[in-house]
Amino acid sequence: MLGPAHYLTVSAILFFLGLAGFISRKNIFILFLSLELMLNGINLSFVAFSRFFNQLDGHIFVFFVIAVAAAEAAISLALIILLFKNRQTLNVDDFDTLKG
Amino acid sequence: MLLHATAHTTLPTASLQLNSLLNLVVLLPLAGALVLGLGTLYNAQNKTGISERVVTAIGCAGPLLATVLAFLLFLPMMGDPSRVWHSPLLTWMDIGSFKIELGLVMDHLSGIMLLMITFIGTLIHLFSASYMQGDRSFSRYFAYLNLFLGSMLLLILSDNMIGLFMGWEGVGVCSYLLIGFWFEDAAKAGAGTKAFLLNRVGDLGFILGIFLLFQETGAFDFAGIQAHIGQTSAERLPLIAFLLLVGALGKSAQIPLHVWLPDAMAGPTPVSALIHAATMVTAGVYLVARLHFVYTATPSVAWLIILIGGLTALMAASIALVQNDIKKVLAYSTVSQLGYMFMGVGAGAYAAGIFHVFTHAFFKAALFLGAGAIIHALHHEQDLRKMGGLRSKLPITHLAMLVSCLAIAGIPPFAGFFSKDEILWSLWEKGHFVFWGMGLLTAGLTAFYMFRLYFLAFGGTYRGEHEAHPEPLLMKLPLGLLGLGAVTVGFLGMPATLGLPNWFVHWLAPLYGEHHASDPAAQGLSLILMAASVLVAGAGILLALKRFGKITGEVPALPENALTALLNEKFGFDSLYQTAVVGPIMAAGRFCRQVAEPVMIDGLIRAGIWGYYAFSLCLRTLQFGQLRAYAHYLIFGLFILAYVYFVLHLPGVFQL
Amino acid sequence: METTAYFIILSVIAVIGGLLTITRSHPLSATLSLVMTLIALAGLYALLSADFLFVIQILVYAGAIMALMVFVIMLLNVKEIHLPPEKQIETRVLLALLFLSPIFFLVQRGITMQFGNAVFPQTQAGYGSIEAVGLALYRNHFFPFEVISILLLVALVGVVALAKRRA
Repeated sequence: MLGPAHYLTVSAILFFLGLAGFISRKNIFILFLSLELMLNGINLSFVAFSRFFNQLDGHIFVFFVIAVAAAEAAISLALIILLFKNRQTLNVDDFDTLKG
Repeated sequence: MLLHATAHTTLPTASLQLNSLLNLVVLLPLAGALVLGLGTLYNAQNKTGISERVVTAIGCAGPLLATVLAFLLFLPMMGDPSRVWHSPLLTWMDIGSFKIELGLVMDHLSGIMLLMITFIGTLIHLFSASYMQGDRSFSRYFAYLNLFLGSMLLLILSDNMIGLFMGWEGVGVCSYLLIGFWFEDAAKAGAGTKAFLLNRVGDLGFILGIFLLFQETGAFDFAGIQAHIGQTSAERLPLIAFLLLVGALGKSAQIPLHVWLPDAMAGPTPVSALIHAATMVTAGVYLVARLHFVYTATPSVAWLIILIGGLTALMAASIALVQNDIKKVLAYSTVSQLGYMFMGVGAGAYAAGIFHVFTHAFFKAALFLGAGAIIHALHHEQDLRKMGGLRSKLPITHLAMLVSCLAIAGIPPFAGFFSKDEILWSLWEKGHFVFWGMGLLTAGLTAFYMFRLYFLAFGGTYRGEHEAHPEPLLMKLPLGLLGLGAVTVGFLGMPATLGLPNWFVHWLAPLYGEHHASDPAAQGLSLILMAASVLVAGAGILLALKRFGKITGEVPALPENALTALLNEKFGFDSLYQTAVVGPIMAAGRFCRQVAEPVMIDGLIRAGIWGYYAFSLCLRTLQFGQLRAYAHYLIFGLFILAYVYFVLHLPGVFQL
Repeated sequence: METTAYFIILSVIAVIGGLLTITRSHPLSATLSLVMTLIALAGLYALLSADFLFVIQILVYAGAIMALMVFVIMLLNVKEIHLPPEKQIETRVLLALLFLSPIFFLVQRGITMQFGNAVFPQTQAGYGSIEAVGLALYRNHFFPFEVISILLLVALVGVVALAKRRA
């Protein structure tokens, strides 16, 4: 029979895939997608916990996460458009004007 | 003794209608000050502002109306001796048992002071209109002068300590403003500051005294204080009396706080006449007379008052001997006469002290205004050695100054004779023979230096460079009236010991009582004492006549010896304060400026700033500006958090 | 047994989608790989009786957000020269995964220790339905719901402000 351990393992794999993509890639789009991947991994664990504890709060939380992700996607895509128009590149290593 | 408080309680109801006039007396000069102050601001913005004529009209209207009102209120008091005007103003604060009610009262003491101040104040306002003609700050001068008069009237008329203190500080600030009236001159502005600072010393004692008095008696109004004075602790009362005395010493320029008054002569001469001779400086005497019940209950402090008064009188008179500035002579003379007044009130002869305040106001105002007329005529020449022979050039001034000099010297029947003799007689009667001797000596010195001034200014031949021009009419009128006062006001207080009517003591009897001791022995003694003082004064005058009567050439220089050096040094008070007070404060200031601030305070802050800057330089190297570096930092933090979580909650994961 | 089979199939699709997402060089193919993962996740939600989230995941995440991504990539008209020079993407990702593997190992051990033998309980009727989630949302979590609406409004205004700016 399936238990929460299985779902949590899938969730962890997805999260760490997102993390690995985030630290190894340079394309700003891919970074953004890695972020989404991490969020979804966490979402899966929420739903699994919710099922395990027989409560709906986890669902509500996932709903909120999706709403925040939508807002975040809108803002960050607008920023990416501006950055690309200004610099004609998608390489995050080129965006280093905040250097101390 | 018939006490003042009984007069308060039996207030006639019919008198209530005229009470509000008392408020007007105070408000009229203050309103003038307000209008002129706004006018001054207007003048400052416009090249052609209010003309001097308008300023004079506004400035003199307030005091003049106040004088008329004062006489109007005074006349019913003459008819009905028990009448006292009382005008409650407002309840300022009411917090539990702490209650301050402000009000004005015109009883016999403040009534006589009110008459004197409004009358002399008006005359000096008129004189000022002529003296200050053409000054750049004509309207400012009158604004200050009106403000002073309003504050002085508040001081005199208040029925409580708080109102008195407000007036007290008001006249203090006006004194400061008017001494430093020509503030472009640093020395004159400094003289104002000196007066203000020395008065602060006195006022600190004064306000502490007020607080302690409230703590003991629970009242701020004089009637309440008098009613509760019997319940105060015997240890506390002398302290209160002493603290209040400190305030009086500061305001009235007595030892050791006297050094500001001679410097106060930096102000315009009419100001010296009004503030620093006739009215403000007598506020200390007024305070002691007003709180006579406190000093009657504390004989030790009263004795201290006599001592300070006597020393001040003698010291100031001796310094006045060697002064060459006409105003400085008069200033030291004022200090000396104030010492006389303190001797009087200290000896319990409050009526005599106030009587001397009253007569002194007339002849000293006349002397100062005369000096002002001379200075005005000689184009601001104040050195006595460059005067002389002014008798024919300034006849009215000469006449007024002559009678005033005779009055201050104590020659009968001029005003000063009666009041001074009253004080000397009180001293003798109370058994203070040493102080009587000091007073007598002072009288002789006074006669000498006043006639030295007189002969140097009016006798001999003219030694100055400037051409003297005659005094204008607006100067003649006040001089004439004040000279007349110097001749006549003395008859208000003829010695009762000789069986003559002493109206002044009789008038103040509701406060201080009077006693009719005209036994033949006292009568004879009194006559002998009078003769002694007149003889001493006469000797002084003759000595002055002999030495300075007919100087045609150079004024002979003073002999160089230890005594004159001491007198020229003014007994070393200024240099003592310079080394003992000013020096240490300046040193402390230099220390703070050069060491404490740059090293101890700024140094600490700078060290902190540099440390912070170095730390931030280290932190800066962590900021690569690259997103992935920050991601690595985040992962590092995540590792730590996960590790901590596992250690705390799941230690099993580390066991293989 | 059916459920287990579905779980294995969907999990494998999700993980492969994730791997593809972080290894593709062109953003468009990476996005489409992520869509694959998201749809597989939606299936996993369905297996967990989360009907409402299943719908939302497909509609909002895979549908709206990812469509927005695709639109943006097409709008920018990203060409090969715009891409950052990345060589041996697979090796780099592998190295990153190796770098992260110890902590993953710990997490995995933690999961096994906590929930190793646990199984899901029986669900009540209507668990995870739109009705149940909606009631929970409006009864117990009304205030966060309103705050989220304000957040979306702020994002809307922010995007308009950014887009209107003439760079």
